[in-house]
Formats: sequence, C-alpha cells, structure tokens
Amino acid sequence: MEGSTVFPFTRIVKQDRMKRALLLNVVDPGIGGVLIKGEKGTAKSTAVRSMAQFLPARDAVKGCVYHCDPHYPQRLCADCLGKLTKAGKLETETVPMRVVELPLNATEDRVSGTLDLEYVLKTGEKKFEPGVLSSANGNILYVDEINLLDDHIIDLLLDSAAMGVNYVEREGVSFSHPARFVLVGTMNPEEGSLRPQLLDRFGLSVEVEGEEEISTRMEVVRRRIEFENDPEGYVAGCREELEGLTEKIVSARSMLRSIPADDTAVEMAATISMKYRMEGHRADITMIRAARANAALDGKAAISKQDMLDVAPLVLAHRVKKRPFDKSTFDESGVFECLKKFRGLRASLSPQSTGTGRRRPPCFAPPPIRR
Amino acid sequence: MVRGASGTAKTVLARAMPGVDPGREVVNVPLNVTEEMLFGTIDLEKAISTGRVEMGDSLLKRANGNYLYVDDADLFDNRLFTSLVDCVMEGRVLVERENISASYASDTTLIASMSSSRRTLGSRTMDCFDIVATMRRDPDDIAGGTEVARRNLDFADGLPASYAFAEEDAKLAEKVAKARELLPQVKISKARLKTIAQICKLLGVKGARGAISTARVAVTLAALDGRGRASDADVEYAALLCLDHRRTIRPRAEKKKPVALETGYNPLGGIKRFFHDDRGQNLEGSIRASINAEAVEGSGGDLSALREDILAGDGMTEGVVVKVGEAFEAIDLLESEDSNGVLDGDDVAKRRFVESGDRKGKYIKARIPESGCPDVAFDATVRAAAPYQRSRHATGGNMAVILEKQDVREKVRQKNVSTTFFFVLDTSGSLLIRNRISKVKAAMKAMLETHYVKRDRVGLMTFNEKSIDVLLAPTRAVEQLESMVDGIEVGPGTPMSEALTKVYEYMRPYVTKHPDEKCHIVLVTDGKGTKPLEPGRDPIEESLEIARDIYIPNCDWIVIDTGLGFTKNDAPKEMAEALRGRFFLLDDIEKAEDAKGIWD
Repeated sequence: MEGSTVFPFTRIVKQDRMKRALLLNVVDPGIGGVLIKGEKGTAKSTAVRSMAQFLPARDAVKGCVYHCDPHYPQRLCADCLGKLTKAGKLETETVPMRVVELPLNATEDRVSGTLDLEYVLKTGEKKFEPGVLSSANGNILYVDEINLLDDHIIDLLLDSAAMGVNYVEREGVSFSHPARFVLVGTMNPEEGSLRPQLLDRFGLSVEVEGEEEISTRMEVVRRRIEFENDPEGYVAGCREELEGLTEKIVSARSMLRSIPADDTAVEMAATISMKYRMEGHRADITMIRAARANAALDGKAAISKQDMLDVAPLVLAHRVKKRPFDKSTFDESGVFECLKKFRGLRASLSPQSTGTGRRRPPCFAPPPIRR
Repeated sequence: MVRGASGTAKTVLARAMPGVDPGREVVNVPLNVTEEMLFGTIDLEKAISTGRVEMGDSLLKRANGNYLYVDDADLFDNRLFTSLVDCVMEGRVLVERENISASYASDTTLIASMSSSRRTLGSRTMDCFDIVATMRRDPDDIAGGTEVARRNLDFADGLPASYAFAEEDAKLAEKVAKARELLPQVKISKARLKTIAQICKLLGVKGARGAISTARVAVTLAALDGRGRASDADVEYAALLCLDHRRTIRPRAEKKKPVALETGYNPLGGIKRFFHDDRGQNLEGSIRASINAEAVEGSGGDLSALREDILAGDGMTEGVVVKVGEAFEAIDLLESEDSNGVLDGDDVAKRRFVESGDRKGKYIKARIPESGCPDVAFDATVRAAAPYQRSRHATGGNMAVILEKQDVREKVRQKNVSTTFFFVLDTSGSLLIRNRISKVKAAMKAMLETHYVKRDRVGLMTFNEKSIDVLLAPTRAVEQLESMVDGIEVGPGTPMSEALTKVYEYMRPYVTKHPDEKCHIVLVTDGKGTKPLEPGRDPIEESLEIARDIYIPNCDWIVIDTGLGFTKNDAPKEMAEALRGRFFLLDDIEKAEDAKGIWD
C-alpha cells in the first residue's frame, strides 16, 4: 500500500485544525486546497503524506492516462471524449486517490508536460508527454516548502488551479488536458511568504504551532518511537481507525449534495466576508462549501452556525490584507460577532470551541493501540 | 482589459463570451506559452516528411475570428505581451524565425485580465486597449454578495436553477446580433464628437486613440440599444469605459499641489473651468477619419447648420463633461477606499527579469548556442533539422530524425532577480536624542513597504565602539527586523572605518553566494568616525579613504543622515560621495510615499 511506512494520520497528536482542513478538502475537492504554515517539526508534511493511507478510491475512465472522472463529461480529456461520443459510454475502473508530490527542483517541462522527444526522433511525429500536472488530476498535489518554489513553476500551478485544465503551449506542443487537483502546500514562514496571486488560490489556510504542554510533547515522542521501532506493524495496528476514517469520508461525500446551501448559510458567509472586507466573492463561496463539508463530515443534514464558526478562520486568515510588516494574527472574534445577528445561536457556541489545540480543555487521552 | 481584485469573476466573464456571441470561441493563452507557439513556427511533421518549410499552427492563427483570452496579463513577460498586443492591433502577424518568413491574418478580439487594479502594464500597452473595465465588489451590498454565492453554488452542483440563465444568454446573443447589423447605420453628431474631444483634453488623454475608442464605443452602445444615433448618455458611458486608463489628470489626486490651475483642478467644481476652452478641435478630425466618415452627422457641406449644431449643443456638452468628471472623481475615491491605505510591495514593485546564466528559470526562446556545452532546446533543435531529413536519409542512417551538430539550439532562460536590503545602523549615543531611533524605524519601514517583494531579503548590522554585530543575517523573514530594531543597544562612538571593513567582509562572500541578488546597502548614520583603525590617523579621513576603495559587485550604497541640531555635519554626505552612493536626510523619508524613488 502506498505510503504504508508513513506515520499514520490518525495518530498525529492534536493539530486538529490542520487535520480538519485537509479532510474538508478530501470531502469536497472544490474547496480549493490548503496552505499549511508552521515551523519545522509540527507534523505538516507527515499529515499530508499520510493521507494516502485513508484516501477513498474513486472512479476513473479505464486506461486513461489522466484518470478522467467519468461522471463529468465536460471535464474529460480529448481521448475519453472521443471514446464517449463513439461508444456512447465509458468503461470505468476504481483507482486510489493519491498524494502526488511536486519537488522543488522540478523543471517546467516535467510539471506541465512536454514534447515526447524519443517519439519524435523515432517516428518524426509529435506526441505529448504528460507531466506532474497530469498525474495530479483527481488527486492531491502536494508542494513542500511551497514558498521556495520558482516563480515560473508557480505560474503553471496558477493557471491549472484556476481553470482545472492544464493548457500547454510550448516546445512545439499544443495540448490541453484536465488537471483538477487539491493543492496542498506547506511552508515555514521564516523562509518568507507566498506571492499574493498564489495565496489567493488556496481555499483554506491553517497555521500550526508546536505543542508546548509537556504531557503532549511526551505523547508525541512516545508514539513516534513506537512507530520507528516497527513502522509496518504500527500502521497495521491503526488499520481499523484508518478504515473508519475512509468510511466517514465516503459517507460525507455522499451526503454533501443533499445538504442545502440555504439562504441563512449564504447570508452568514456574505456577512462575514463583508466584515473582513473581502474584495472578491471567492471567500464567500469557499466558506459555504467548507461549512457544508464540515457538516457532512459530522454527519449533520444542515449547515449550522457552528460549522460557519469552525471554517471561517480557515477561509479568511490568508485573505485578510496586511501591511508588509504587520505581525498581527487573524482576529477571530469578528466572525463570532457577525454570527450573533443570526437567530438560534446555540448556547454551546463559543469561539473557544473552534479548535486550535491550545485552548481546548485538557481532556486529552491517547486512544489505545490495537495490535 | 478587465481589471479587479481576485474573485470578481474576471475569468468567468471572459469564458462566458461564447454564450452571448455564439460561433466564436475563446482561445486561451496560458502563462507557460513560448514565443513560437504564440506567433507561429515551422510545421515540424510536414517538414520532416516532405522537406518543405511551411508555417504550422499558432495561437494567433487559431484566434482569427475568435476571442483571444489572456489571464493574469501582468504576469506575462513584458516583451511577449507587447508584441502580442501589437499583432492584435495590426490584425496581422509577421513571422520571421527558423527558416520561416510568413505573415497571416489574425482578426481577433483580445480580452485580458489583470488581478490588481493598482498595477498597470505601462501606458503604451494600456493605450492599445479600447476599453478597460474595473470589477469591484460593493462592500455594503450583502444581498448582491449572497446572490453571487448562491448562483455559483447552484452552478457547481449542477442544479437546474443555473440553466435558467442560458435563456437570458440566448436573448442577449440575439440583441448582439441585431446590434451588429444595425451598427453601420448608427450616427454620431459632430457636437458629440466635439464633446469627446473636450473630455479627452480635460482628462489629459494623450494621442487620438482614446477619443477614437470613445466615439466607437458610444456608437456601439447606441446600436446595442437599438437606436440609430449615439446619445449623450452613450458618450458618458463610453468615456468611462475608454478613458479611465488613459487619463493623466486626476482631479482629486492633484489636490495637494498648489499649482492647481495648470493641472485642471478647480476646488469649486472639478474640471469645470475649462469648459469654454476650444483646444481639442484637431482631435475631431482624427476621430472622423477613423470611424466611418458618413456616420458623423453634419459632416456634409452645410456649414451654418453645423455651427448651429455646435452652439445648440454647448449647454448639453457641458452637462456631459461635468458628469464624466464627477464619475471619475467617484472612481478615484472608490479606488483609494479599496486599497485602504495598504500598499503591498508586490503590487507596486515590478517583477525584474534577467537572462539566467545557469540552467534554471523559464525557457523563453531558443537560439544558436553561444558556448560549447549548451542547454539544449530539443524542440528547436528538431525543428531546425526537420527540413533536411529527406536529404539526410538519402545518405543513410536508420533513425527517423537525423540530427547534426549544426542543428543544435540552446535554451534562453529568464529568471527573477530578488533584492537584499542590508541596513547598517550607527548606534552611537546620539541616536537616542529626541527619539531618533523611532524615526529610523519609521524610515526603514517606509523604504521597505513600497519595495519589498515577497522573496526579498532584509539584513541588519549595527555598530558602535563597544561592538559591531550582524544582528540579522539577510533573511526572508522580514518580520524579525522590527523587533531587532526595538532591541538595539546604544553605545559610545562611531568606528566608521572598522564598520565599513566589516560590511565588506560580510557582503563580499554574500554576493558571491547569491549571484542573482541585487543588493542595497543602507548606511544610517549621523556622522563622523571617532575611532581609526590605524592608531593616530584622522578617523574621518581614513573612513573616507576606505569608502573610496570599497567595491562590492551588484551592490549600491545609500547613506541616510540621521543628524539633527548640534550633531548635524557634512560627514555623511561626504561619505555618500566617497561610496558613490546616494544621500538622503532621515526626515525626508518618514512616509511610504516619500520613500518611493529612493532605490532607483
């Protein structure tokens, strides 16, 4: 199994908000990815890489290089579209959803794809050789240290992330293929920040902090050592948890469409966006989608205010304009203020329950490990 | 050109064009496009199989009769984008590359979008766009925002509600088709042309293009509305669409300057005072020449009627000009509200590109190699070899494509230059006097705010007789700078000579390690060196001598004089001269606006 020797997702201590942000994107890939900011050693990369262990399988057109989604005729590649019009239907297969990694030193021809040189030299005809963006279609595209990525590679990502299509017009190849992916980036803010255009393409962002409680840190180390002694065994021990998570995602996905984006939810999102002076409409839309996924993940049939409160900071934090040397962090209290206006605010609702590990009540108890 | 913040449906709008103009498609220009794909190059397969050199497909060829869409126009290589715009203006593309000498028609409508309303592409390129529209979200319109989100979700979920709009698109398409038919018959009066010319003059629009666009758009607006004559309202609307990016006089922005009379600003009524100015007469001729001469009513022989028309039209003209002037004032106000005083370096500073020496960076074109071991551009190499394949096969070889040494082409790559700002701060006691340290901080912030781009680095060195320290090695985490400056310890004396030597020792290897960086060394001091390196020498003279000898490649020096009252002297200025750097007074650069020109 892919990623079987990565430390399992479910065993990462705390960091609930980061885990939630990643899961929301798995439930609804339309949310638009996550940017995870944090110092080294805060389980950022581990969390992303370990997602392969529980990502649900998905349908794809059989034999397609781009693993086209057969449910959306508009999003098919030229080959599949040709097959569909010819045969009237497509043969499908089930493929695992993967985490595709984009290394920092990738060259642009490897990212977007290029002229298949060998083919040209052998046959004298042109052929497109797919790159990383093609394997990313329908999967998670992960860029570690995304703030260090070269500008011209970022440009390629910008285009595809915006359109869901990778247009290649270079090196003698004119080609396009579907490239819808969940973009996940991790970065250490000490190394500088991201370009605003790319920042805006991320649906959610989350800032992770190292754990400072002694007991938590001890638990982190204890689990890690246990894992390192026998990685395969440790992962096998978590099999049941991971399968449970997969089931939860699958059921959330099936619920997603039936959860209405009712007027109250849409208005809540608009009100919050206005409060934080969002320039475009992307924040509102993302907020509703994320809230909906959040409700689905909890098995609820409607979007509640708590859902809004949970996801609003994830949507807004990286979109709020700051002066260049402003160190202030995102002020969540505004979200709470906005939501007060809406009736039916549950008594339990409080800004404290939105989830960074630190302010949680100390009810932390590690789940037992099954062997 | 569609400008606006992200998430204001710029791309959505462009991609929706076939809905209202069926039969024309939108040809997309991706950011990764290379020159030969855009303008055209040899048809590789044909050249290999037949040996004939012919033009292959290109984006501009495909765009002929269609729309050409360029997203994030400000991120394109400037040269590439300018030549693209030129081709679209001409309606023809001339190709002179790789054995090809050809030209073809490309009659297309260019739609470009740009993410920031603050950055522009340079006035020459902008002037080529007839219309520049700015998309903006009304910050108080919750109901509107709600509706946008609702429609978007319905569409993404494939709900039937979203298909209802296809009908509206179809209706609009019908209207467009009718307007196209009507267009040749739509007329504009001479008085209105004069109004347009006047508006252009008053807004400081350079050249005739603005006036021509305005007249054409006014006529088109009338056609879209099914009318045979362009009205005042058409002219007003057209002026707003066509002149925003071309005006050089901004009524509100000029407020500060005392010489308001020359700039067209009048505190009592915007641009009103120029109403009876007849300048701009000659523009009419060029508008008339460029749009269908017959479309201009009153252009015939009856002069008296024409004069009457102008006289009668005067009052009405005034109304239009006032309205346009007021609308632009409102736009300026909105724009200043939008930015909310936030000037992000990334928005203000341009991307700087250089040709890359190593094999990193964006491949922009191919050329015949200049060195012995080139970064081979395989595509261009195969293209260069293609026409000779038949003759080479005749002499043997079993590969489908036979390459020879002279075919080899190398890649020309381009990359960004980033900048290092290295502050060297004199922390002798006088810095404490009258709170100079907070002013120094403000100045540093001001200098960086307008010029810092995300991947630039900032460093800090302090010096006094107690110690000389690099407090902050050049880093991208700029946020650290402020707390560093807050924690500075002040000491006695100014060991200028030693400080300069230390800067040299630190920065010389730094620039070698970072060959792509442009470095600015900012020396912040109030003056005289107090301690020589060589005992017994005059410290000032010695430090000047060292300054004259210092040379660090890729670096320039800026000296900022913090002196005030009794500490004020000429030494910093002399230091700046010796370093061949520029010189500023601390009090001159407190605000971001003041610091704008400091680095260039």
